[in-house]
Amino acid sequence: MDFMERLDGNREEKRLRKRVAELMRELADKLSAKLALAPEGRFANLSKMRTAKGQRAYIKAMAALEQDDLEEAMTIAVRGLLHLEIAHFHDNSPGPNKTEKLIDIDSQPRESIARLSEALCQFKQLVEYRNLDVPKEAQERLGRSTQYLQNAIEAMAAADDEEATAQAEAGLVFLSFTVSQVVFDPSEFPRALLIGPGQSNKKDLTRLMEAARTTGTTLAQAAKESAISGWKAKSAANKYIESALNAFLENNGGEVNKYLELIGLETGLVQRTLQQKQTQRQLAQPSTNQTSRSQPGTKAVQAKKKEMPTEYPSSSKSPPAAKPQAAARTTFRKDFHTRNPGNSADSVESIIMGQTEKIAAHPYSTNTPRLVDPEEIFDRTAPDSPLDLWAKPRKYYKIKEAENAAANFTTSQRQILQATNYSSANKREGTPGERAASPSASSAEPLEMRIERLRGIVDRLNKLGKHTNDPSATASVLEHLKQELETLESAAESGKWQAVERSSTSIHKIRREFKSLLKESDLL
Amino acid sequence: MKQPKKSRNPNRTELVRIMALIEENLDEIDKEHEAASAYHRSELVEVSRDNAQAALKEAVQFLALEDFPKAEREAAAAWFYTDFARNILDAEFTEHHLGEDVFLDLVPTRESVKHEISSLMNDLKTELNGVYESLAVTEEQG
Repeated sequence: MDFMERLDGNREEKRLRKRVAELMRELADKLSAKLALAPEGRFANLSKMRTAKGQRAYIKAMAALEQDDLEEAMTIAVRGLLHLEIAHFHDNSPGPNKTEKLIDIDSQPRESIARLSEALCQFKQLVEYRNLDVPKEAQERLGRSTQYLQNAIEAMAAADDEEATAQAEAGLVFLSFTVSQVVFDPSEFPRALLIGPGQSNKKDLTRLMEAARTTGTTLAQAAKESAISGWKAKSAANKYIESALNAFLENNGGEVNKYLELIGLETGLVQRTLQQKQTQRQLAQPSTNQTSRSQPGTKAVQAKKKEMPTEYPSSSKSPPAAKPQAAARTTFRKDFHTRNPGNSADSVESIIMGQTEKIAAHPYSTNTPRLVDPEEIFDRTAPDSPLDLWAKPRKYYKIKEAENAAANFTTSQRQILQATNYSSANKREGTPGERAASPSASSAEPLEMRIERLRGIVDRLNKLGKHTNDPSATASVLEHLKQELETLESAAESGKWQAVERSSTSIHKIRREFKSLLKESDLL
Repeated sequence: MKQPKKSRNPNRTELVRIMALIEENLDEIDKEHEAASAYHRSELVEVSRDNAQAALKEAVQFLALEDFPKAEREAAAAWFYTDFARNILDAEFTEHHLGEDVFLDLVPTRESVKHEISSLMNDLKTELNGVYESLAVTEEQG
């Protein structure tokens, strides 16, 4: 370093030292003024909390100054001043206005995020108010839609607007399909899922949501009437919706059109079958009064009999409206009912599964809280750059675990479908325990059937394994279990009974291992 | 009355105001959530609140570094989480006062997961024992 460089360096350090000294003085003055007066008002607790943060920042900045870490001292001092500024706001704040949208949401992807968030809450309110029964499979899909919301918010925060929009819109399509399985009356469909003016620029999304909704409603009705049991149209419609959604996510308008046309054809076929069935029924029972029949599966009819308000309450503090009386019901629909869960499983799970799996591997994909404490990141003693970590998602450490687990969890669509079918099979036929106890169950039950059920159980456990404290270890144990099950299956196919017995014993051991993992996670 | 349009590039003062108001919203949500736990403790409200708090913390850090666009995005994330938590609480408040306290959890609760896992583990045991039984029958039949 020559003389001039050293001189420049000294000047820079002097300038920085002066600036830090000014900031520290300002922080000390504001802090002592703040501490002299006890915080008052509605948000005194928040003011106190921010003041304490300011105080801690002062101590840290002093420590950094002692170490001659001027840049660190300056950063911490600025942060301390910001804490005090927020504390000052709380001191004089009249409180938030619940209806005020604090941020700009008039653009993508925020508009879609806001819409998905609203739709989820409207659906929740509708189900609770109407006391609708949501089948287990639909609840799972609802969880996935909620996950899309979090993924979209995280992607938006990470400035990945394209991903955020795709996640939110996928959530909307998925939710449309889910809702259509539960809500039959189109007039009661959540408003946020209906296509409004101003969304004409999103023609593909609009058409996809409409298709998901129409197909969902048609398939649910057909399943209820057992009109398409074993019919290939059911799986074809599912496949086309999935393909259309994938094409949509890839922004391939031509493909979207192609699949939407195919969906229309398949749905049309199912609708015609339903119409034929209805006509046949009417001919067989001409005197039946269709409108006065009650729906045995409708909790709304049996229990609550409420009427939906024309507007949802916007605030929990608003005075509750008088509970609608049964006699005053004018819009209540007797045909408002829920889907038969026993028949619903296979027509729904596969629909958006391809794209779901794609998104499941996405780094934002976890519904756990954000875990990286930014305070820790910024408080590192000698960071190269405090913001370097922001190049990665904020839940990096947790996400890595989830990614590893997801890699092991990834199963084929067929397997997931079987897992779902297992649940519905349980509903139809009772749990294996119940079946064993039932007169029809016998020890002579074919081995293949037992193996198929075992596969369903393992697949389902795979899906739930992410809830353990150690998803990687769980995924590894379950993978081992799956492999052993495959060994058992091939041994059974080739009639090697001793090998079958060995595999069963091995599965028993793995089960015990898995059990201890579950106990550690307080899941058993 | 139509609300004035918010700017995507708010200045420092506006960002401080937004953050402080989000924090106040979260404080109210916290109190209401505590009160609501008498009839239903929503895990999703807790997760949303935690996520909002984490995002808010990051927004403050970015603002201190004068990185306004990042601070604004984090504040927006905090607001979305806060708004979602608020709407869930409002829906549950309505159900509690007008309905029959039958709540829909948008994500599976830990208790429901626990219950399902327990049931699946029992099923696994039953089916494995069934395999032995089927084997015994096969052996008997030669």
